[in-house]
Amino acid sequence: MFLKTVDLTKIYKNDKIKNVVLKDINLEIKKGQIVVILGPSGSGKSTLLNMLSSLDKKSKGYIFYDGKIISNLDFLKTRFRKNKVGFVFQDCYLLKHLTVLENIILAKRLSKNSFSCDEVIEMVNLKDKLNLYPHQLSGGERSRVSIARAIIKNPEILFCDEPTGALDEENGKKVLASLVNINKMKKTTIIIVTHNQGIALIGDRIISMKDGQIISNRKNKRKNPLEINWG
Amino acid sequence: MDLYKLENVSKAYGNFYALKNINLRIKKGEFVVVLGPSGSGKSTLLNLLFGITKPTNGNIWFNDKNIVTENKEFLRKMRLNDIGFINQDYNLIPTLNVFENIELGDNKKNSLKKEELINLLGLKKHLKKYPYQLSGGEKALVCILRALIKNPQVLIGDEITKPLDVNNSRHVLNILKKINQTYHTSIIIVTHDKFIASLASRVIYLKNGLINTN
Amino acid sequence: MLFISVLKSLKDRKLIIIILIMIISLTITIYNTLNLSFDSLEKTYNDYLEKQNVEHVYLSVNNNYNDLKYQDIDFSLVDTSLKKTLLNFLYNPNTLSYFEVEDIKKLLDKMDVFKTKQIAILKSLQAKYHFTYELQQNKIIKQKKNNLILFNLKENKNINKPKLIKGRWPKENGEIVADKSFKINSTYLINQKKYKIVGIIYSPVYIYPMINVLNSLEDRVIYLTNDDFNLITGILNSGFAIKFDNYKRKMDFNEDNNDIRIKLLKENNIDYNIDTITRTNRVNYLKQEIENNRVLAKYFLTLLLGISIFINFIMIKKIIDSEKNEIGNEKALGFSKIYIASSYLVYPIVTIILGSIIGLIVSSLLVVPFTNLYGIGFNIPITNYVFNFNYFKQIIKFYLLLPLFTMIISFYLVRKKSLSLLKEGSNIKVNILTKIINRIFYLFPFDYKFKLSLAFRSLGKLIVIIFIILGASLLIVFSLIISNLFNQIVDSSFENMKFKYLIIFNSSLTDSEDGDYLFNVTGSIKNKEEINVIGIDNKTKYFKVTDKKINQNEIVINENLKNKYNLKLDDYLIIKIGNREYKYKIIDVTKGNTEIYGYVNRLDLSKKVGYKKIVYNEMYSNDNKYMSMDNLPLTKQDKISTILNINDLKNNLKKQMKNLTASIYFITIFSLLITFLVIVVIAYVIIDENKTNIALLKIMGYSDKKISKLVLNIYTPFIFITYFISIPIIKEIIKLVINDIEKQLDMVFLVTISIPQIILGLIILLGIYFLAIRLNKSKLEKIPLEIILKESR
Repeated sequence: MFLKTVDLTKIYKNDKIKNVVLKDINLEIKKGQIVVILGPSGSGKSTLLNMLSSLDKKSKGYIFYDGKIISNLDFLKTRFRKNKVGFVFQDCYLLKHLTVLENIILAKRLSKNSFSCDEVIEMVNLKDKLNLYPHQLSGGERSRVSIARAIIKNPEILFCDEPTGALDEENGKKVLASLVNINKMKKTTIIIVTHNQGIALIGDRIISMKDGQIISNRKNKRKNPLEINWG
Repeated sequence: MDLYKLENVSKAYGNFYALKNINLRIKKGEFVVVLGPSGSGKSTLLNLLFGITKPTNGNIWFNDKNIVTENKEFLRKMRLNDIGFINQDYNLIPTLNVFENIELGDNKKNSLKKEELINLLGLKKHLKKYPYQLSGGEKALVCILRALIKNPQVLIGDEITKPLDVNNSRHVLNILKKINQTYHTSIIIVTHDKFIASLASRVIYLKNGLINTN
Repeated sequence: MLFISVLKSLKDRKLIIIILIMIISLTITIYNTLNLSFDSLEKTYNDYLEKQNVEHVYLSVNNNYNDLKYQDIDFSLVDTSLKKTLLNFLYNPNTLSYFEVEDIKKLLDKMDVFKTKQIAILKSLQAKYHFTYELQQNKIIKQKKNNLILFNLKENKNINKPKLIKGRWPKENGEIVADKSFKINSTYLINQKKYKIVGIIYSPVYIYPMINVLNSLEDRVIYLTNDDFNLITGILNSGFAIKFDNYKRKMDFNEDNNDIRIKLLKENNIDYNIDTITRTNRVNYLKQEIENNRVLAKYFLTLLLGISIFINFIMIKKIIDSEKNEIGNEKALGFSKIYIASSYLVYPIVTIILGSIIGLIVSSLLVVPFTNLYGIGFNIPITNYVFNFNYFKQIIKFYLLLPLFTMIISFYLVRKKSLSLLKEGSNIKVNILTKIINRIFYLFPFDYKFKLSLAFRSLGKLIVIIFIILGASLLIVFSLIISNLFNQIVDSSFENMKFKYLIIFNSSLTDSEDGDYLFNVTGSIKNKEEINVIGIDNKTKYFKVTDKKINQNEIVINENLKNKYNLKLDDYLIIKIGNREYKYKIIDVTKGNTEIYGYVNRLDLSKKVGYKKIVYNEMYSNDNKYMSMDNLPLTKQDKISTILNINDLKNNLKKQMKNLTASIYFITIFSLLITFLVIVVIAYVIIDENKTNIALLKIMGYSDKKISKLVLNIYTPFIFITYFISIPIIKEIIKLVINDIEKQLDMVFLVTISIPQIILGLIILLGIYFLAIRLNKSKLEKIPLEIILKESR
């Protein structure tokens, strides 16, 4: 099993009030799959993603990656994120002073066996925007730049937090198509967090969450992103 | 009586039309939800209603005054006295307690009774607290109260439930509905959340800068 | 690539980056310019002394009558009628009256007894101390408001060579060269005889044109041919210019036993007098002046450098803080902490490099005018302009702290969780102090509470702002006190004088008219220090010395004397007047930071000197007939030696202070400039940090005026508080500086700052603050309301 959690729990403490955001999550994710974590806001789905991707410390439980335990200590190190993991956020967080190409090159330097720029740009279909700055792009284009940036270092696993949250249907579908395309071509494991049930259908596995717990975990036959019913 | 009347309103940013020939009437006392995905022109519409930006074409009437042709000072007074604003980050001043944050919105002219509002919104036990000690839903209520205290003709909200979970969203919206009924304050909420729409007396669908008549 | 990103972001922060660069370049400019100008002046000075072979010590032929022995006097030249008195003078001085002693002194002077004696001594010492000497005489003629100092060209051939700067040397009698106050090729009348000025010179013994404070006459220097010099009548002074073969010049004339000058004099019981010291000062004062300036500059520049680095650091920290999101993002991408942190080195490095380049260019342009300006007060041709990188190297070392601090601060931020960095700072906790403050001001109007709570939002920030204001206040108060210092010396010297004219008579008189009378006698303390003993009356109109009544054997001394000998009230001071010593009880101290003098009872003093009646030789008057000698009858004119106009006196004293004040004005101007920049930064920070709040208030319908009142004035009360805190701090710092200067100058400075000045400083500070805010107001008006609405297009 590629990524596995055992009794994963997250508790936030704020002014003596304990807030259990995740409760005993047990989860297995296979290599090369697209997994969609579905749930309304406040269900704990983003917290789960943050912990799987070592952006946040866990309170209890274990995470296994390729059979090895990822400790809270690893969270402090950037090596894991540098080599194995890519991120796509809803707010794309592009470096606003760099052009599209420069933003992509920036990430390319992180990895030795990275893809070529041309290849990645082809994947996300951004050829004619290379020399524009982030503020000159539409939301969808920005998303695709952030995907390109995440994928160019050839990560084993790509974490996407509401990648279409700020997009309209047309752009959103394009972004999802890019993700599926990458999965097909590079066998990258992709984990998508969303509240949009329509989107969920593009995944091989759909995990539904509510109030910090998994309420269903089912297999799914992938649908073409362009044909799904937008939420 | 119309609160807002938009006549053939268009707004262009360069070559891009964020709003295209919008015609819209909002009556006094109405609870209107403007629904649409990002990029549909919601924010532009909000800016126009506030008088922050002027449309490229068309007229916007607010209480029979064309705010397109009015000067800045008029628009400022309009915002000061007639419009209450609830924004998605709530923007409470972190160093003022709840009571003081509410006071910030008080223009002292025709303000409503504070006590009454505080009870209505159930904020009495939180008055001495600071924003960081509040939950998201409570923050939303404080923000609503801050906007409401000056007894505006309309409350305008921008994605007000975005940071909230379902239960809190529902609570906040119910409160809004109660305000709408008690004080006959018009309420306009812009959102992409369909759930909110179910509470409204009227839903306006916005897509690609056009009002979707379905 | 991250570096490029940070580099490109500089464009968005133009104002702040430009201010940072300006602060650095201003600091480097003033540091470099001041020090290089001092270097230039010093090098000019040293070269000049070398070239003109300027004396190390001057021994005016010393009329030390007490040391005179029988064998020193050629009795064959003495009139028989005086022989007995002379013998009595040598062996039984106490039997002679004050007047008999004065007569003998005049006789001995005429006989050149002392000159001959001294030449013999000097010759015998040459082998041991390795020096050359030259007899140098001058004649002084009083002409209107000037002392004409006449030198003999023949005598100034080896030592103290005058430097010709225009025209030529005299070829025949009747031709003279003179200092730059004269006009070349004009004729000049001395004692009714016409002379032609054929050249303009600098006299190396008049590098610093000292003005005698007590006679207010300005010295003008003329060199004549040997024949002309011998023919002309004037008060003759003789002395020996001595130059050691190997001697490192020392500035002052302290009793330092390692100093070969002192050795020569002390080991051989050679007396020196006020002329020696005056002349040493005239030659060496420039060096002292440079040193004083250096001391002043040192403290100021250190203060400035500290403030400059601090402000730059704060601003860079602020910029990096606002890049929180980017840092979080870069961390999530997997960049190493060191790589991210080091990318922010772009800010200090770019600002330091640009600031240095500008600073170096500007200072290289300023060195010449600055050096000339400092040289203006001195009679010296400025020949050297120094430019090197020594001072730049000194200062840049400290600026290198900036990248280090930057690294530390960015590393601190980078260490935080990337998630917490990516989060919007909406859940800021409220510190206890804010809660307390809010509680204290519970009943205050809402506006106050609003401002205070914003100010206390972040204690760190508040402290930073307070420190910035403190820095600005320090600079202002520093300038105020320093600029005050010199005016104050002048003012305090004349504080109790209400008269317009001081008339000095050439003999002791008894008749009286309307005015205050003084009897001024020169005495000595411990046979060494000259003291003016001034007899005054207990009722005076035009000046006031003390509230106490001065009785017989009581004295009121001036501050300088008090400090010099560490005297206290009720101490006894022994003063030698004429040939006798008298014991005076100190009953009061009066202001006065120059010279040494004391006030005694006039009647008592008259009697002590030997008069039967009360006498005077000086008079204070407000009678405008004394404005010019010509107004007075001839009989009166004969009795008067000088009339001093009080305004002339003040102006002369101020002139003396001119040079030091020049650096002070520069320092003041630079301080104000930097203060201004610093405060612009504060206003910028305030607006920048409250952007969302401002937009929120705007959208609520608050007017721009009300908003600027609410937001921009957040820190105004702290300006007041900090300013008042800074006053005692800076006072202590200045005292430190002054102590350093005092050691070199024979003066006591009073470090004071008056209430009007404190208010003036506050007005300056507030003025600059509101100006800076006004400049930033346009920025406030430009804040788009869309910030709140998150226009996502």
